Amino acid sequence: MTSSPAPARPERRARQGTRSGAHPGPRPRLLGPGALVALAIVVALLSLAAVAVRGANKPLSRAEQAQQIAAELRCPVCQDLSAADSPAPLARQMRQQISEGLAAGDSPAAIEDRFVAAYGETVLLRPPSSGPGRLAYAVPLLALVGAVAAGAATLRVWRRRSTQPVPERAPLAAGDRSRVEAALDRWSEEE
Amino acid sequence: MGRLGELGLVLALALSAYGLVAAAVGGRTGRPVLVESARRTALPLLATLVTVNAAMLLALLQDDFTLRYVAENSSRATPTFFKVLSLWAADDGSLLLWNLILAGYLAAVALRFRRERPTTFPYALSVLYAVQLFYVVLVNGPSRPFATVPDVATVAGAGTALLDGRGPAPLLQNHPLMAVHPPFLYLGFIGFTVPFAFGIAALVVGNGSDRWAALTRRWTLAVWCFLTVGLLLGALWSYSVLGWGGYWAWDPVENVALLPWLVSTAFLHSAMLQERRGMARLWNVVLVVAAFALMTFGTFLTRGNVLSSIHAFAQSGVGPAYLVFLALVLLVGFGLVAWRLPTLRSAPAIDSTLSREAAFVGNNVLLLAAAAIILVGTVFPLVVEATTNRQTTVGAPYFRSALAPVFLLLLLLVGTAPLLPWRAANRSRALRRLRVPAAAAALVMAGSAVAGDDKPSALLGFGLGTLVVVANGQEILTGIVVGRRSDRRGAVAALRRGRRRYAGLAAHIGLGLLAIGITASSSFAQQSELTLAAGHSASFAGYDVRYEGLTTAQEPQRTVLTAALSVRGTGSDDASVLLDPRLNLYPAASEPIGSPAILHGPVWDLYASVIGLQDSGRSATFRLYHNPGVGLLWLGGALMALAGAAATWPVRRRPGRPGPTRRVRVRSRTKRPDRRRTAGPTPRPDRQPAHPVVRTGAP
Repeated sequence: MTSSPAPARPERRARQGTRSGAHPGPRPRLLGPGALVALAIVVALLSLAAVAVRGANKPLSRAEQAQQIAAELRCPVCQDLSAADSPAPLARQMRQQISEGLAAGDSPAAIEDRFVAAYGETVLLRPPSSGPGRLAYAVPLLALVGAVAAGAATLRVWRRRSTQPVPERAPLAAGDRSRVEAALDRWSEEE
Repeated sequence: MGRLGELGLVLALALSAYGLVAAAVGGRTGRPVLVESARRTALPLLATLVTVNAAMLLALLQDDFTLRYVAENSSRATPTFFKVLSLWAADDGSLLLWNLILAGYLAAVALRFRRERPTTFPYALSVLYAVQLFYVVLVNGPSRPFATVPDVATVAGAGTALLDGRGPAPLLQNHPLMAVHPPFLYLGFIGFTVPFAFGIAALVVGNGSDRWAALTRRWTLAVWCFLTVGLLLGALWSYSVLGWGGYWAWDPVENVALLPWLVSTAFLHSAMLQERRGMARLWNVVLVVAAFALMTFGTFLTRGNVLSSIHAFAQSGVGPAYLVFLALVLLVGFGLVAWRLPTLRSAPAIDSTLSREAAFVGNNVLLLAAAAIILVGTVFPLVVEATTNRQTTVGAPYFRSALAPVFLLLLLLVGTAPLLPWRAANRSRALRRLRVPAAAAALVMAGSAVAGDDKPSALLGFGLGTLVVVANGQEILTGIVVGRRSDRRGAVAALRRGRRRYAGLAAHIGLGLLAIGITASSSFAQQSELTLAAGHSASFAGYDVRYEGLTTAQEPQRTVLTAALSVRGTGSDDASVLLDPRLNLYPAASEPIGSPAILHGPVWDLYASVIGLQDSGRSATFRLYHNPGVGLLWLGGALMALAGAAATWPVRRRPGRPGPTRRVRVRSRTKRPDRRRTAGPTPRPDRQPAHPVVRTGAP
């Protein structure tokens, strides 16, 4: 018993085209498998947008503001910790100065400038956005763009190489094909 | 003891030199006797280095202060446990351990290949001996662990040893984790020598064989596990000792330890491309050489006196030696790659961009992008200072914002790619497998948006972490269900058969948990600084915290001041819990070293450190942290390491290929036509090319 050698594409198109049930194939579904995934993506993006809007509009308390400033400053006596994190006495003092500055109505930038004046540029945990520091900001962008471009280019080259035609094969018995499919399915799920 | 140690080091020098030459000459001239003798040299070398380490250990335990190393890193009052640890508490001693571990790897390779002799073996052995030779030379010349205290040596024969030593650095004798963090990290670092050696050997032999990748994948996996554990223990040490409530400071030395981890993770994935499909040969050699070079670079940065940090060993004269070695590694490694370029060309071809092969490409470029960002950020201040004499800092805020996009993309990939089969995916089948994970991720994101999250990055971290956990968990569950149906011996046998795959999936789940933990702790930690008089209390993050007063205890090597806090949930009737943050006064330290107290919880930790005492302890200043997700971080990390270990553990070879010969009960399948709606009896063009190759491609 051999199946009709009808190519897949026309049949699939036909299945999508006729929803009336005239087609003898499997029962048509209203939603493809992608619908739920698409819905999930929409929900995720909506939540993300909502949260982004909320975050941007949220007023910061003075303590949070102080915390934010301190997190960007290096504690000069400890090598690797920020003034917000370090338990060192100097860091404590810096946190106090930040709170006092904020209470006196200074802007965060002015407070940072005062620390830079006192301890030099190395007190800032981010490289300065001027001079050679700009390079440090270009690197992550270049790395990410470069990585995506390299990946895409690699895939394109590899994809182009595999355009050899699929060898023609004798039509299979319907039972054989479904058996092979089932076995392959399991095999690929396990590997 | 010192004499014995120095003698042993000279002997080790001779043995590794002999091994290097014998293996290389034996391989070159085709004399298996020479290769065999080089192989057998591994054991005496290991024995020698064990003896050398034992000599140093004995000197430490016997308070032999004639040795400079002992005088500088131990004292009579140091507890025995920390005396043992002093072996790796400073540069010179840790190099002895380093040598010992390398010799251990060498012996393991020698044992593994006692019968089987791949063509690459002589050269791999020779490379291993060469690396060993370098490190043995280091301890024979530039660094001399067994040097005696100068004064004693010149006051000839008087035998007036120092009365007492300086003791280990206070920070390093403050927590037992020092016992395990460095050895694991060393096991992780040094282990990269093995894949490197086989990679180089494959280049030297140059027959374009893919066997080296298969041979070294398991070694790399083991090394990766050690490094994972080492990094985790380092984070745990930072969390439990430094008292700042955090676990990763983007300290340069932490960064350079993360680099080989990222690159080896990339290799573990792309090695599968080579093993199964003969693809990415050149790329894999480059990755292996890069991982070893980055490890060497990290050692140079840490021990070469370039950086200052808690990890940096001061005053080490070995910097230039490391630099020369690094240059040699890069030159030889990439020189060989360039020389053998023609044999490395594989013409990789993929059938679809929706396939596991394509996903591995994505994995590799993203991991390498992360590594590149970290590497550049770490060396940036050094380069800027060297070129423009201007000092800059590149610290945690920079790394966090620079790496967040890359890591989020990686999570997206880890949460979707394992659903893709080799060769080509059926789009609708892939989408169907994505339904549950995507829905779970969306639910989590919507839920935390409703719960009041106001940080988009945290929302993404939670959502993508969930995607990773659910997608990979679903794959494991599917495997168990399908395995139970198709394998008469049941699900366990099916799991065992697909162990590599399931271990990989479990490691992904670990990564997802880790990501959720990191997101939670970095976005929603609360902290507060409180000054409390004894007997007074304050509230913090839903707890009532009461200062119970200061107690002082005298220990041989230190004085411990404990500022006890009793903690109870606000409004709860439960008994209060005692937290005991401490300050430790060491004679060698000018400032007290704190020991935080941590109340580990399943969802969050309550963390307290005491940072100041007033009125001789009648009042104290504390820093309190409420850290969500830290427990999840350790859990996820442990799962990753365990999964790696499960994949590494040796198995009996399974006889023959599965696939066509596997018992498949088709009947159970045909009873459920609903699952296979799209797979009608008609041929599907997108699956066709997969059939012949799926069978031949697997090992």
